[in-house]
Amino acid sequence: MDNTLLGIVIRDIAVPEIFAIIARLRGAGNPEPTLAEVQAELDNMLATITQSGMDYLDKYRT
Amino acid sequence: MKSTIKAFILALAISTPAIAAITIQSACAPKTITNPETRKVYNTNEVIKRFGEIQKAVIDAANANKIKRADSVKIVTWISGDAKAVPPQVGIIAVIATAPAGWKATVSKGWVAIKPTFESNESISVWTPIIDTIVGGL
Repeated sequence: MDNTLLGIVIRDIAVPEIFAIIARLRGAGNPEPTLAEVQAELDNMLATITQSGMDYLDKYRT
Repeated sequence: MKSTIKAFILALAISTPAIAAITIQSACAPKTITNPETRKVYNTNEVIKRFGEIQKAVIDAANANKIKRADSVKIVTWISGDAKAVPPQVGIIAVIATAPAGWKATVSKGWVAIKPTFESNESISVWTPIIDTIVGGL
């Protein structure tokens, strides 16, 4: 594993996930979100990731 | 102080499987969410988030010249799809969102095809067991 990858793992996965787990254990945030709230987050996440992917593909489209 | 930070980073590097386990474990809805439909959508959202993180890592690796641009384009297309391709290609995250209960067969098939691209690139190969777990588990 090189340093760059380690940086990605720490920055993008480990730390946010660990904090998320701690937050959940402490009962912080929204412990019982409604279906509509979760669905809205899913739709938003899907749109964000898809747009990010499309932007990347557009940049390097041959 | 520096040695403490180094020791922490070393411990994290050694415990990559543990990080993966934490990542996968956290993809399951917390017990506080009791509504079955909400849990299903929550889990779907967490899986999609993981693929978003993978896509970002792949793009970062390509921008840092750690993997070939063509490989990154292939993976990003697999994850996000390509609405401008002819014919348009549907990404796995759209498949997962559309069919929360039945996406595994479709995603598994695509994963088998694209897995060698991950395995042959050292800087992103760490994602291979994570995706194996996402596709095979949960």
